[in-house]
Amino acid sequence: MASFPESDKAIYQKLAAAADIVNAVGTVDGLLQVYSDVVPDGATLPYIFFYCVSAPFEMDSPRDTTDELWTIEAVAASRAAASSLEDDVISTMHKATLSDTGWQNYYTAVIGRQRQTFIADRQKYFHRMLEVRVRWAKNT
Amino acid sequence: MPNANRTVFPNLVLKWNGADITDDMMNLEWSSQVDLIEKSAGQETRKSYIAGRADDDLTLDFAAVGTAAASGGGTVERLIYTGATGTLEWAPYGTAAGQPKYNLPVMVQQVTRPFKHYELGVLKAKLKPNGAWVDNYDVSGDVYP
Repeated sequence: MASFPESDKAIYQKLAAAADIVNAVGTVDGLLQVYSDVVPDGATLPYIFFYCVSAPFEMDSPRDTTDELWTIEAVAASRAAASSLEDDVISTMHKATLSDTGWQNYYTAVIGRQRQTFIADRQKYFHRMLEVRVRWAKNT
Repeated sequence: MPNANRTVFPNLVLKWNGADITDDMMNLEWSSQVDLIEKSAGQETRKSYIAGRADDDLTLDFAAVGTAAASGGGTVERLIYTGATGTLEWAPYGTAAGQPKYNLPVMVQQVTRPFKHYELGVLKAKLKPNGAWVDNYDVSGDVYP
């Protein structure tokens, strides 16, 4: 029975284990400000927010494998803080090895980035968006 | 021809000396051909041939498994290396009763190992027959019992 790896959990665990990231984003209500899919109300800058862009099964061999593209956004109130947090994410994720029971992560790399800045209620939100490619092979 | 009858080989099974190596294969190609012996002669204006000896070529691509060099590489790499001999068994439609069966003693003539930066390692092995066919559905109708 085919299944997908829990990449969101694996990415969170990798980011949450990085001291520089933990120190930069801090916690709100005791929860680290590294969010998957949705940024909750009450989050304070800076924070990290990540989501899946695509995650197809490759179907090029009998073994189940996925080739996934995730975006990890470092969001901060200043350009410098956003860039610093972006560097922390790159150093944590580029050529990293993620963990998920039943799967082998043989490829994780930061393969691109984008930048956007939003202003809302006089607050600037500097977004550093990193495209991260994650490939898994299922253990048998 | 009202019914499409295509397949994507979802149940293919590949074994080396009886060990199932299906999970790490990426591609198997089997090419079978015969030598041609010209039989045309004299005043004939166009060539014609009879069949000579049959021959087989197999190419097996398989994923390199990221195991420390000290332990000899991945499972399939430890089995299939230049000069190794064994029996290659493949079941294009699975091993259920009645499905076509192919089983051929082979030797590994060549293994090509690309080392592309940060890309999946896929080894390519060229195999040649090393004995008579044990099972060949095309020739003798062999199927799984």
